[in-house]
Amino acid sequence: MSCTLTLTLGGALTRTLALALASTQVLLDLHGAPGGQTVNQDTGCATACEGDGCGKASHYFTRPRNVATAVTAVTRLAQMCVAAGPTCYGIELLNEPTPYIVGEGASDRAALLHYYQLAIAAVRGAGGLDAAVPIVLMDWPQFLASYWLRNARALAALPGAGTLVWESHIYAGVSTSTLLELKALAPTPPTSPF
Amino acid sequence: MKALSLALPLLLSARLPPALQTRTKAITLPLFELLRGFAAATGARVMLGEWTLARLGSRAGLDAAAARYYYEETRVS
Repeated sequence: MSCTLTLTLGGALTRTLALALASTQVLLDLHGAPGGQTVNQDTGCATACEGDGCGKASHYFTRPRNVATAVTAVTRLAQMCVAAGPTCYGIELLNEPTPYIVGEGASDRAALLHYYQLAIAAVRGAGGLDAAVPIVLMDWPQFLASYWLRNARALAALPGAGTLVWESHIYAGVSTSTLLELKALAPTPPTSPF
Repeated sequence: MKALSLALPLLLSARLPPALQTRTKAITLPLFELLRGFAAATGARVMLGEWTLARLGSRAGLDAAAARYYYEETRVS
């Protein structure tokens, strides 16, 4: 079972883009991936278990049909972004994928890499988004300092990937001490402005 | 990088009393350094988004205007 993509978003987003102030740009962000990219309430619909061996149903975004539906959604967002012109800052492919890599709702980052590869190709291809307009890739600081430190270049190297911007959020789940630990994992930048 | 280098010292020096400056630095500098390290290692552009800066502002005792200022100015690369 997969979520059905209902493009009711067109009218509301078109109005939002039209109402944006002259000095404002709008970033269109897929917050609710079909199947749910987390177990949080602010994600896409959770779907039932498919096939043998699956556990509790709550987080099945990475199933192929759901990934395909998400790619269709961001492609449509890209087309709207193109139509909006300079008002549109860019397209964010997915908001806040699950931070859990084990247990219910878990997802490994290789699955996210796969989705990002498909989505970038679709947004630049069928979506028609110019290479200069940012595609925004979100993940949590702990994954930027680990998995993406090793794998971000695989996305930048995609043919026609264009401008990619990584975005991160920090909420209560990442403490200062955690960040200090992560800092130790990251390479030292060449210069410091502080 | 330029925006961050200009914005943070300005914010810390001009808008906050010394005690809050220290708290703000304790929260933000490790994060910025992590993101800058990621950017330097991968060649990627990085920015902070959503309510991150407002949340940081709340934790650090910043007011809403300062948080918005952060949000606008803290693209780290």
